[in-house]
Amino acid sequence: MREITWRNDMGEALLDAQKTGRPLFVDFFWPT
Amino acid sequence: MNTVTYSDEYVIDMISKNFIAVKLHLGEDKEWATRYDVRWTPTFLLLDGKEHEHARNVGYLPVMEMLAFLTLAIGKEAFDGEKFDEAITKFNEVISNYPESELAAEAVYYKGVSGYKKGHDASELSRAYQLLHSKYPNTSWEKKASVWDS
Repeated sequence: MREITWRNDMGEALLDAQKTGRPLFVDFFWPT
Repeated sequence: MNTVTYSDEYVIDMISKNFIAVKLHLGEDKEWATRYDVRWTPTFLLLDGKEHEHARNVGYLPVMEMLAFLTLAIGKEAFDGEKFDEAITKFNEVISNYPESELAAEAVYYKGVSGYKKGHDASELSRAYQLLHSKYPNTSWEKKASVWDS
């Protein structure tokens, strides 16, 4: 089954967003 | 959230094709939560690489509302960058693909604003109001657009 590839390092994700121009979708969660 | 919305094929496709997806724990990633003023979960943000926020949602979204939110968010990022044709394309997608979504009225509103900002034609605003008045009456967006009635 396909899944979304989630990152959990926001700093690294921001650097990638700056490099690629791709926006970030950020999900703040609390485990249930 | 994981068991319903994020397992939907369309949601997986839309997030994977358009975004870098990040999951942050409100309790453990407090620095980021404070930085973006997040106080409840789930909270969804669309940010660009300069950390400008283009869209935010607080609370669970079922599949259709999530697809509408993501599409509207892409449109708002284009709108904020003054790419009005791209923005209108995305707002039209929300209006035609998710007409029952609560976000459809917002898409009509921003489509009108984008059309106006693109060509300074005030009839774009009155057209948006007419559509909101007929299709989405008594929404906050219809009220906001009521000053465009001509």
